[in-house]
Amino acid sequence: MVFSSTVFLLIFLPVVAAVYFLCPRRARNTVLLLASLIFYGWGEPKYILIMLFSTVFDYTNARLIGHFQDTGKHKAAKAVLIVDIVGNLGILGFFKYTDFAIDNINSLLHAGIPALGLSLPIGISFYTFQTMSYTIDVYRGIVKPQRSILNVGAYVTLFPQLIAGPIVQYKTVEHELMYRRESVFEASRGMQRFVVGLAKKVLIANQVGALWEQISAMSAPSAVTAWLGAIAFTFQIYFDFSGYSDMAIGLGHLFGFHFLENFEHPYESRTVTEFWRRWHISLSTWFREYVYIPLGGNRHGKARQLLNLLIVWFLTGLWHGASWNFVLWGLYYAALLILEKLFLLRWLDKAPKWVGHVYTILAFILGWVLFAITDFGRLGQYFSAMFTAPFADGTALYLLRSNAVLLLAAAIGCTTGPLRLWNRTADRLSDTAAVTLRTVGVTVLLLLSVAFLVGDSYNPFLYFRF
Amino acid sequence: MSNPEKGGARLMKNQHKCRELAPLLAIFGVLTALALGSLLTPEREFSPNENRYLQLKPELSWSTLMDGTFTKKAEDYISDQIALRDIWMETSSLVQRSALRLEINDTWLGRDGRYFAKVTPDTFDTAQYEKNLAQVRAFFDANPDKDCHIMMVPTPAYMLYDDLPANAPLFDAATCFDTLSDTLGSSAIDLRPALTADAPNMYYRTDHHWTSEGALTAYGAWCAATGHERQDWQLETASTCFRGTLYSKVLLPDSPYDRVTIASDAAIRSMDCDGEVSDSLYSMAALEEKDHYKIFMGGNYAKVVIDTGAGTGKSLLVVKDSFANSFLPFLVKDYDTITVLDLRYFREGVEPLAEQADDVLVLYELTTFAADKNLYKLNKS
Repeated sequence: MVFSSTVFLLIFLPVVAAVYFLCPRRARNTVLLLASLIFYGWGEPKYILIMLFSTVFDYTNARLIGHFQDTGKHKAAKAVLIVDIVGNLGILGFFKYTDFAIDNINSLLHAGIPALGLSLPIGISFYTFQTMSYTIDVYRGIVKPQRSILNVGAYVTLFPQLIAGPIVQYKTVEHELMYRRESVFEASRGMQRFVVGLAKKVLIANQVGALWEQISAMSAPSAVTAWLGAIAFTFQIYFDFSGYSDMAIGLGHLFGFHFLENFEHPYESRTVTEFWRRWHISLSTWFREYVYIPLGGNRHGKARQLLNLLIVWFLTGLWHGASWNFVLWGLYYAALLILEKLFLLRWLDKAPKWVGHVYTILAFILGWVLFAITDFGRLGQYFSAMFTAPFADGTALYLLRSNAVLLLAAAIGCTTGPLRLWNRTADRLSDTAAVTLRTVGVTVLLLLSVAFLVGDSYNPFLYFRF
Repeated sequence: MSNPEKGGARLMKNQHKCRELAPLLAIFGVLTALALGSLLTPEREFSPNENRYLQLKPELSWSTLMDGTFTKKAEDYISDQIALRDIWMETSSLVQRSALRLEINDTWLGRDGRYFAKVTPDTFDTAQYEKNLAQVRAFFDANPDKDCHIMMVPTPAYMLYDDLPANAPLFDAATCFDTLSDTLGSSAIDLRPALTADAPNMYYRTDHHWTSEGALTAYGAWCAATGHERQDWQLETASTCFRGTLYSKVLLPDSPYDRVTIASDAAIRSMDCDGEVSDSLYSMAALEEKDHYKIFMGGNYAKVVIDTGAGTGKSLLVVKDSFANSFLPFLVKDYDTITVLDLRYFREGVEPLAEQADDVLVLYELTTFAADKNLYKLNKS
């Protein structure tokens, strides 16, 4: 199930919220677990088994690790951790990367191995990382093994962030899993955040997404059109992904959880280093804590640090998808980050602000093109359209005009501007007036989002016997 | 709250809480009201605007649950049966137009409330178009003793390009007509000169078809090209409140209404539409429904045989799309028998029917012709 669907908004969410708050506190994690299993199994019921397996596997391993640590058998604890990591990565690798590997082996050795054609269990990349943070932190002694398997199940399957993050590390919700206190205030703030995220997804991401889809299918776009397409995708991925995180964090609040922020207006950054501190924060944090630092981070000299960066960004790229363009995209960022570490950061620091903005914006727009087009032939064509095609044509003018308001809204929406404007306005209003304004605002956003969602499902089949 | 607090602070906090209840109630109020409204109102089976059947309450069983069809249908059910469905659609269209969008749902918003189907250089299938022309050419070549013609109706967006949003990326129709005359030579009747004169009246504003005025003008061009004597036809208004397929795509509430006219004195002996026999070319019952263009021959059938009783001793085979439906009434004084094939539904051989006919006419609108993958049936034995 996805948040931006009528079945989630009209049925699942109200029913789950009602059952959750009607149940006594001690039953609430069970409610969340069951609701999450339904949420997850909605499209592919058989994948509920993976969820159940993950829960039992990680619960047992964490208990074993805790037991061995307590009894001084550190080697045994380490062995269980390795089993756990191999198991988790094995599932991820099996579903996500087997066909990619087969494809590469076939093209290298002309082996002709048939692909498995498995459908990827939704969100597997997110929750695999999430559950590994639990067992690794138990091994490190940062958290205690959870005694209740229901709590582990609720954590592993927690539907607000199950399928598209943020990657919630166990240690950040350990306390709330057992002792959280829901409140009207938090629930209300959370649902308002949810509606804003929904609007980001439905009113902006889906619309600029359609523009990108149209342009990326063109056979010979002009340079302006190609740049417009790249910008459209840049907005799409931000509004889609950060909108999803807003919805997840908001739903977390509803149920009394506080997930860490995942996006901090990354497109306002002035360096790529800063961009990656503000984009998909939960993923970069995960890689830093569980890969980069264990590899030695920056503690073994410059050369080793650069190697570590390369490894981390190779993996970050591959995590985003089983295709070489994602690896290239990761290495592209590794290169930029290394250049910045070596000298660029110092230069940019001295340069006027706009230089940093222009450089970073160009860096991530070009990065998103690498990310968006998986086929290298088409990728090359697209880049050459951006840089060598005729400057503009009628189509470019038409698309600019037809999408001007949308693109302007997206450009403003991805900065801190609207938030600052709202805060300044709210400061001048009485509390009651501010709440009233917010109530009207979120209601309008919700109604518009429903209108556009229904609109997307509106597919006139007009050419039936015409 | 476990911490002891001063009364005043607690009071303030409670007031704060009460205020925050408002947005929470508003959000869940909207969602619950919509859910109840959708589930409690009677189900709609058919959506005339979308011209499709809506999803009804799906059956829950173990097998439909496990193979995912139940959940898919349940999602369709909720969005198809959502309360005020058309109003949500209209809202979405109005918002898009206020945001200065030049197109909605693959439909260009033209001048004076006129809508155009969006066909761009990337969606127009040139290869299929040329393949189809070659099929027609081969068919004509196989019938050298007959008078064979093709009428390609120019796409409204092409004839009325100035009414489209500026720079709208329309496919290259002019080149298509060049290819047409290159491939079929004098068998191709060019309708463009005749239709240009009064182009805005030749096409509906809210439907993708041509008007009876457009078809009548084309009849004049057909007479001139085939050497028939032009018969005199008068058009009468049948409907003034027609909103066609393009309206259905945009659903803007302030869309104009089109007038539908017919040549009511186009009398025939009988018309056999896939076995359904009637004595009129016009199906007045269509005016009770949404699609008033269906007044012409009651829609599309695989094979229609019209017995005109004209006494000319001549017969015509027509291979066509729906644009022919409003054109054929003008031919009833020129032929005794008119056999009409719609290749999308016709599954038999065309050649035996061609052998019985004196003349052959292929009549399509340009973009439907290019999108049709059934023209091979012309040359299949």
